[in-house]
Amino acid sequence: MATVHLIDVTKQFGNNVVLDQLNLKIDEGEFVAVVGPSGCGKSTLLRLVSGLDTVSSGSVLIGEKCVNTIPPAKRDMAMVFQNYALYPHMTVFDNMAYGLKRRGLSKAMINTRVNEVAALLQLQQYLYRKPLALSGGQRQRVAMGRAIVRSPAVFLFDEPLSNLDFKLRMEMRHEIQKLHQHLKTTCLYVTHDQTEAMTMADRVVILNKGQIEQIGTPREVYQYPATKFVASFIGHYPMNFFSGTVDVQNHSIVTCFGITLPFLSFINALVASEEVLIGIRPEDIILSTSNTPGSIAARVLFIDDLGADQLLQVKTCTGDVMLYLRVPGNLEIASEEISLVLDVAKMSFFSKQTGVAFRVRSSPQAAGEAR
Amino acid sequence: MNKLFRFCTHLFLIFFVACMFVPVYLALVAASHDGTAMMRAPIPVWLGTDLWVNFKTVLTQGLLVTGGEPVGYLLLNSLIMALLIATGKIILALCSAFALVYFDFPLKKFCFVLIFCTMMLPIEVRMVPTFQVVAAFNWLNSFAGLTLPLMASATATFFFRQCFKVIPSELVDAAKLDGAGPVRFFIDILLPLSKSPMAALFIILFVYGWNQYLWPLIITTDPNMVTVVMGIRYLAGVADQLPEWHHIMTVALLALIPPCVVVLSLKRWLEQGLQA
Repeated sequence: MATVHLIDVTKQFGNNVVLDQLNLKIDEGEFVAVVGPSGCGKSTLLRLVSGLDTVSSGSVLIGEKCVNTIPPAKRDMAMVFQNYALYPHMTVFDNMAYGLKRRGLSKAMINTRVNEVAALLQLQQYLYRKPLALSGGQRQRVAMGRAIVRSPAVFLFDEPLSNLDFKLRMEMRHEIQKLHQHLKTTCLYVTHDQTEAMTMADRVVILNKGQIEQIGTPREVYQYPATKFVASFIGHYPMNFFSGTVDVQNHSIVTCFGITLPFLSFINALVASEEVLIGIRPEDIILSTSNTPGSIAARVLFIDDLGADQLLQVKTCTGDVMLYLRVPGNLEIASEEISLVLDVAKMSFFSKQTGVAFRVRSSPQAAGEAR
Repeated sequence: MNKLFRFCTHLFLIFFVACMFVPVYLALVAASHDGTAMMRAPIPVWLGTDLWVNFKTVLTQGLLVTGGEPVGYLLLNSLIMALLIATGKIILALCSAFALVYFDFPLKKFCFVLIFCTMMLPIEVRMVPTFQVVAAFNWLNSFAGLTLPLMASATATFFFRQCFKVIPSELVDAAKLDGAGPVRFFIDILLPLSKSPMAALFIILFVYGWNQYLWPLIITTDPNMVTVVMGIRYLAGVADQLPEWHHIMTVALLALIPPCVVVLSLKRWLEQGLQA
């Protein structure tokens, strides 16, 4: 088990800056997920930590030791690849034993270790098969077995579940979590699927265009997004955004569908009539009646019946704003004309120019955020 | 109408099979009669009975025209030459393809173009300068002179290059993480995965080496170094004697056998390897 420290890490290919001055600290035994859209630099980040690529500037520390110049095999870490990267001509046993053989361990030791790990991952009956004769999930377990057998200080996962179907992905997610609880090794997990990141990680790092948007626990990142990007990226259902204009005299924000929101501390920092972006999650918009104060009239356009939930796509009568709201699956939507009430306490406010959030609600980690 | 079409198709295909098979059959016919049978008209159409007698004569006693060397010796020379050429070409091609695919070095593009250009320089084009170089090394009448100038193969290099490019690059990453350096990667991972292409190429290059005629003709003067392909030519081209067709055809048939054995035994990999 070791800590992983990235200090001012930059990576560029020619003039293309892929990672820009990244700073990240992973504690011992922590499971950190790095999540972001395609092309944000997360795979590059993993390759830098593993040693398969060298940094353009900055340092990577594993266990407080700078490993910039240390080759991948000597960095005391193991990697699980997206496409498993199993040696196709070797049996499962040989695949798992190869790294140990290269290190010079005795045959007896190799035997014991491989058999132990095979038992842990329920691979005993597949030990003498070749990868071609295995299913995707089994191959992924062999790939993990190959990593575990080396007893590394850090595990690196490069989108390991992307090639699996939905059900298998859920199973393997739980397997990985169980393994993490059992082995307590530091894990750095890269994925583009925010569900994986949110369900598995102790902390989530959201990466966009080579820069860290936010680092925080899944709860923090969900409830107190630091930027508009994080707010729109995280969350199974898309977050709703609409604009509001600041009214300094009345200490309020006038939303584009007419209602006013009474607000507070950050308004003093804004110029009058400045526009802010307001975000609210679909589950924080509540159906109500038209005579509730602060309600918004809207028309239902589509209903996505997802079984347990229904996702309503509605358009407000004032301002023509498209909103998504989530209601229980068994709720009957009687008519097209509905009234909504927004849960003001759960709203997030972002600057229209920079996309950075204004800290209105007190979050426990507000002081220690990366940005 | 359909039946007629199918009949014609079969006839057409049988015709081409016959084109391939009939010369071999005629050779068998000639090899299985005695010397006088081929001189009379009409030439016999059916197989005779002297096949084994002719084989024995040719293999053990040798023929005066080839300097009395038993043909077995010629076969051995051809075998050694073909094996050396095939293995040498494969080894060189593997190494160059490995360098081209897995390494970045200065002037890499230039080297690639250079290798490509050698495709325009088969042995027939560069006979004279190559002969001078080989003579300067004192390699005339030796296996070194017979095989070394033919060792570099651009086609084999590109073939292996394509095969290596199909191998996922994540295997390289996994090998690096496992602590395998370039040579270990080459031996433990690349070579086992290239077995099919290697076998396929071996067949093609073995037959190429076996059939070499012009270069061995130029390089060798010693009757000990004569190959079987040259031997056939000597037999057939005698100026002042009647050609011994039965012996010539027997030697030709003998010359056919080793390449056939190689192709038949490695046939399975040929099909797999060329698919890759």
